[in-house]
Amino acid sequence: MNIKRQPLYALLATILFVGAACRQQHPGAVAVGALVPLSGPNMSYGTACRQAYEIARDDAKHLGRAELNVIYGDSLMEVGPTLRQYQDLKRKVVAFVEVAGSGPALAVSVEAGKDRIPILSAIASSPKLTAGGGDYFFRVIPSDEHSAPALSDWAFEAGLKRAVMVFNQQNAWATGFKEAAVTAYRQRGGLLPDDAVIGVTRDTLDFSAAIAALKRKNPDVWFVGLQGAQAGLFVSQALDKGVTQPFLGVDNFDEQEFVDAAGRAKTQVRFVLPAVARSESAQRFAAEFRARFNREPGGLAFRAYDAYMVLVSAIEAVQKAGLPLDGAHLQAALRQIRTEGLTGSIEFDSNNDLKRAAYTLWTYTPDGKMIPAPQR
Amino acid sequence: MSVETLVGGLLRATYFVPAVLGFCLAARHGGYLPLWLPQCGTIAAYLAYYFAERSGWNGACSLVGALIAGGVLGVACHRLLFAGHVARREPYAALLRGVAVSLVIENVVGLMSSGYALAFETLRPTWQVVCGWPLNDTLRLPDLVSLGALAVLAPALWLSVNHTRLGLAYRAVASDRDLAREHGINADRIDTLVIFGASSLCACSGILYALRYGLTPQMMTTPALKIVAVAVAVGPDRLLISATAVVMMGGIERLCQGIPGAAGLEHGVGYTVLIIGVMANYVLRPLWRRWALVMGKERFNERPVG
Repeated sequence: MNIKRQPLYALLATILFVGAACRQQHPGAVAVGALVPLSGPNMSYGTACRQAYEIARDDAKHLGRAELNVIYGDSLMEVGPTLRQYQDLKRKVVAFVEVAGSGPALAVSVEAGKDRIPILSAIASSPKLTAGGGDYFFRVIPSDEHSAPALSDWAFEAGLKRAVMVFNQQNAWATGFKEAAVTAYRQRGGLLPDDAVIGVTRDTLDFSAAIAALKRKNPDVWFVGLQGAQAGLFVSQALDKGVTQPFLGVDNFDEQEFVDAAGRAKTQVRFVLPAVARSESAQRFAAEFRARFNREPGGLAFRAYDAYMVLVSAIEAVQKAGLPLDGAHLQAALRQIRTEGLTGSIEFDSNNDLKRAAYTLWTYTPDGKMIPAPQR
Repeated sequence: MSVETLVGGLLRATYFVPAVLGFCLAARHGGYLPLWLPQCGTIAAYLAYYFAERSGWNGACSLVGALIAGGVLGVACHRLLFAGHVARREPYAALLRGVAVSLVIENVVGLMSSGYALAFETLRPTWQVVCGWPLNDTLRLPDLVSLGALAVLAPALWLSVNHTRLGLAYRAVASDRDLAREHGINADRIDTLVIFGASSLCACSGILYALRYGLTPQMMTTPALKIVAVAVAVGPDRLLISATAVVMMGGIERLCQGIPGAAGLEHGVGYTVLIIGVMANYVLRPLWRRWALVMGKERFNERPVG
């Protein structure tokens, strides 16, 4: 590179950055933060959230509701960067509409509790957040503490009493899911010994050895604590190795990346989601999402939309009451929320987890359509 | 731990054989570690996806087009960013620039795909054969092609580098570019040929890998580090041993994955073996040679005169 041109490039980059920052400003809008991965291997989570917020913002505007100005921080879905971005944004926003990832959410929720800044999450489902999330952490995704027992109940009632599990040991959600599923399954009398649980890393794409080792345990069912394309590759490779038993999961199977990677193995999965998971408004959202972004929305997009709208409702409640828009009042408003979202009714319990009544077991058709699974 | 695991691991590791061969060729030729080269595989895989899934090209045309595009891109990248460093013999500057280029490619691909993992739909290999013991797995076309690359490509490349006139010219340029020029070898043409071949080999690896495991912007990042490690441990001038080493490393990794509790060390064990390889290659081998030389001299001195 010609050294004389370097200041020119630097100036150009600065103009681009400043331009991008200016574009984010919406006069009169309430500033909220979103700590999501905008680069790196988990970038698709951040993209799904951004796309859902875009539709939610337009819907809110169309309905004459409060407008949010979402200020993003690239969290990479890792604890260190998330904490740094939180410290940068905490004085600029009244709440966070997302702190992506269970591990980062656990770390940030401690700080947010001290700073009295409410956090919503559509991604972090670890049971550890039920007690560890503190008073200011809310989530619109069911805790695995509820979904893992529902999954185990189904497995046990279907006579699937011997299980194996694979999970990503570098992911806080996956380790939380593993603990919840193992505990729930064993409590119901299921056989899931420690040597039938294999942890893999986030870089693992070939699971042939883990599948071979787990197959030797002659399981009736396979718990899968992997996410997105990695989960899809696992079930696809297991099918290639002759596995005919069902694969169990939760919302980790409710992603388009999973469907794409799983191929024909997607019909062999069973996963639990709240009973009213696809309402009429959800179908409208899905159609809008497809039209705008030329891809199917995953479960995360629905939940991210719900998180945005829940925060809008809470902000409106505080504004209507004539109270100052601060963290403490927002937290109190969030606790009173009772609304119908795209993913069912949203109401928080005493731990700020979602109150859920019933779960439905889902699977996929060969053409990738999500349907209630037949009971065995 | 079982035969099935080991055989499966060795088979899957063959996916990196074309990339490691290409990397070694370019590394020896340029005298630096072209860390950016495996990313030609990422770009070629995304191009194949674009041609086949978005533009509706025929499967074979998409693959050939992506392979050629990968090669051309490699040449362009080399000419624009690395040729100067190679000519001036600046391996560290070239390495740093290579790191930067890798990151830029990864992030640009990430931005263009919104970070979503993609999977081939129309190019998804339909041909398959269920294989019994010792593999107990379903073999697909990319598995066979990568096996073929190990069986055919590695020896063929070794032969052409060591036993042809073109190979002689390649070795001459790799050894001393200026001297080779003085002897009438067109170093620029050799440059283009080598980088095109090396980038195409990396593109081949990337496409095969993507057909089997899908596309992500980071798909070649971890493999690239392993490829570099193999090239460093074994030495870029040893093509056959490099190919064998990368396959052996895959076998060891999979053996590790099959053991509950040790699976997290999967990648770590591979690197540990490579560290041992580096020590053997760069520390123990020279020591052994020196010792053998000393012993040989002593024996020579002990020989009765006359």
